[in-house]
Amino acid sequence: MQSLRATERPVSHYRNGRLRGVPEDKPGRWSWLWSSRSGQGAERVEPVVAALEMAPEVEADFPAEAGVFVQDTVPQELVDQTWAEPDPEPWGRPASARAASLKRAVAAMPARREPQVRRVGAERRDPAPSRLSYRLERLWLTPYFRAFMRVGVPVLLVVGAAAVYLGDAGRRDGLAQKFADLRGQIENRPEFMVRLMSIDGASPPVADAVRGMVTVPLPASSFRLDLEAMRATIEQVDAVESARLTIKPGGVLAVAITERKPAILWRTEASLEMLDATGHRVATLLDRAARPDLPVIAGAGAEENVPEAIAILGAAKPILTRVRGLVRMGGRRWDMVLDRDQRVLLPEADPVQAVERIMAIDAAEELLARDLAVVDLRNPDRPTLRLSAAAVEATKKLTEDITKVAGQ
Amino acid sequence: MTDLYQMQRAMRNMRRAAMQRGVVAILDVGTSKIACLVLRFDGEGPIQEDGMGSLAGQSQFRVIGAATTRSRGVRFGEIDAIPETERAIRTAVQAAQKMANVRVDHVIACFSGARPRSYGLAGEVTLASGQVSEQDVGRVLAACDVPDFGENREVLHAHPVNFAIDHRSGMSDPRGHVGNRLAADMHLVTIDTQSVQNLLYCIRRCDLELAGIASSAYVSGIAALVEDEQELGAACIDMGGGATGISIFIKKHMIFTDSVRLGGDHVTNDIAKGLHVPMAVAERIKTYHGGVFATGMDDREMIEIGADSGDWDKDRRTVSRTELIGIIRPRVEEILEEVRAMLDAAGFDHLPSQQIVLTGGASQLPGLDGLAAKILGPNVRLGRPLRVQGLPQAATGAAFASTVGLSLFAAHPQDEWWDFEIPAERYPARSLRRAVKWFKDNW
Repeated sequence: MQSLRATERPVSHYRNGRLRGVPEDKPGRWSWLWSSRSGQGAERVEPVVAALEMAPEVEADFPAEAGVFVQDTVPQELVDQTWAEPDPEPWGRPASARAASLKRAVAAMPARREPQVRRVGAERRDPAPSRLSYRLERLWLTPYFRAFMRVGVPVLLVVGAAAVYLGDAGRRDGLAQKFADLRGQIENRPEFMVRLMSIDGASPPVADAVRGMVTVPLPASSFRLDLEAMRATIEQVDAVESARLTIKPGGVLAVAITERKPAILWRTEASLEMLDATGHRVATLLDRAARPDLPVIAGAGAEENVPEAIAILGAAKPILTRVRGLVRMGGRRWDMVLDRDQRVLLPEADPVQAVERIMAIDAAEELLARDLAVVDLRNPDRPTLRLSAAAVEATKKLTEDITKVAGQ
Repeated sequence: MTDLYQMQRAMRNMRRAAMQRGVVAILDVGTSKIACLVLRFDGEGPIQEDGMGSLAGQSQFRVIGAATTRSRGVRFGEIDAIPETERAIRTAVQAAQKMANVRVDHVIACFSGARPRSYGLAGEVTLASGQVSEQDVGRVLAACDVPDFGENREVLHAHPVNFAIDHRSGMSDPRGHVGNRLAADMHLVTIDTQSVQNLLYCIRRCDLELAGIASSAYVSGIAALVEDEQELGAACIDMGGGATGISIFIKKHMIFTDSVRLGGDHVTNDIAKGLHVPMAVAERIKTYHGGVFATGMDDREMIEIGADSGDWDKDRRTVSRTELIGIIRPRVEEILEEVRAMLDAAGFDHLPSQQIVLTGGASQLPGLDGLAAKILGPNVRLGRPLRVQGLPQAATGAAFASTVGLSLFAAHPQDEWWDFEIPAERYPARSLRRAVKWFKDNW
């Protein structure tokens, strides 16, 4: 048995449109043309039938061209006629309309077939697609190819064109230059220029300092002003707690400044500094007398514990007029220095509570008004007093007098 | 025999590949029309509450493209002029692809001619292990003694129709049964090699791969016979343009097929000759006015023949319908008598059911069922193909029985010989595959 191989073309007796030979096994020269049932067994030769079967193919008036379906073998005209929409209510309308619809119906009836004279040599159109168009159509129906053509090719074209255009360095620079020019033109329009700087909420020396920090030459375009950087620069001034920069219409750079409020004075070996409540430096004070309202702190590490110092001073409000200042001792605890060289030694832990305690004792016993040199509260379980030298002498003398009186 | 086996297996693999891709084309190469359907396979639909899918479980595919074109270059259901046929196939496939908007690479084709001849084969083997296994089925099918069907014949179908174990016969699936001897009956259909080669060549020229091939008589039987007819026994007469196919079914299997090389085109031919009109006009007259029973009324019904010769007298001829029927009827009778002879030769009389179903484009001639009842037997009906999903209304007629049947065949092919494994002893000795097979079977 042979296998089916497509490469084996079946033998054709037609070569180049000419009949080459006749199979030898057939009896007559032409009889194989007639036999409609040639082959083994029943040989029925029907010459008349077969002659017409062999007649050149007559193009039937058959509407089943490519892609068009017909109702089995009923021609299309009949289908159309059968399925034509019937007039919904022909007699319910005026006579003129009826006549019109009748006319339409008559016009729609299939016309009597006019004899069609077949033009000699006129080629009938072959509905079959050529091999090329068939292959192209199939290629177009391939999903990946289709996606590539619809997305990939436009993208490639645009990217390729851009790459070719920008491949030249001169063109690239020209383009950048043009862009920069355009940008400059827009930025330098008078609507966007900043001409003035106004400073609000700052005292004149601080305002001068702020003006000294801002080095941007005005007028400048608002696009070129880096407000965030300017704010950071301004806030480098110690006296400025925060700054808010806005560009107001009319070309004004408005700087709203919140100044630090000095809360305490810090005496160092070299100078006297004003600090705010957080311990941040505000300014240097040349003269203590200029701010008699502020208490003084001193000692190593005092500026790092300003909030605690303020709390202690707040607790010592009843004797505040007598307080000369706080001294940080050993970087770990405070001494409160009063006038008359009195000192209150506060503990490391809970100094405020200790101050409140001494205030209570003072209110009851007027302790601090006495001639004491030191009130030592460092050990809360055991407060200790040290008398001044004069008081010690006086106490000694008093004791001797009492002994004399007693006659001992 | 093995290379036939290999080719059919290759086509089955191709079909599986097409299923995986989900799109396959159906091509019915007929004498009067070439129809192409594009099917989309997208799994089973939702199962309904009665456990059966819609459309009797045939709803797993959907027709997404359909086209027909007038056939050119096909005679008697065989390809005669290869380039013409190739162009016609291209036309149909392109139009169907365009409608489906998807590219199709695999095609399953059927044709009616090529002198099908059917053989009943019987084979018998002794069961080694007592229980029938898959290999035993392959062995018994391979043991069937193949008749000498001559030069240039090719096996188209080889259906195992019946299995018997010892004395129990009539089994459809013997696997798992226990016995000593397994016997099988197989129905083999052979056709001319030349026709298959021509078809294959045309399809290759259209850049398509053949994923299956079927006899049109068989597939129109699948489409036009209802289930109980297939089960109880019926003959399907597919009256096409150039050939009339006969297939006899019983127990859901085709047991006989043959074809008469006469069809509707011959009727048209007779009209053209008898009335001296072109074939196109004859076809139109047959379609509009044809019939097989003349009544008194038909004497008075004059048909305008209408020709376009330019000669007024010739173009204004009329003929009565009775005369037309007088031309048509003898040819139809001849076709039916040929069919009758073939049914007799096949022993259709001895079947329990004598149901005959007429289908195909030529079966639409008015009154044909009455004439067929006189010649073939009383139980005659006109069959239309099963409805499948997405099929255009225009393609639901009897002329599309084989097209629809081929769709069903593509979705659910019946088991054929080549669906079973070749037994190891059929391989050449000392082949590596034989060794592998032996290991597979024994471990």
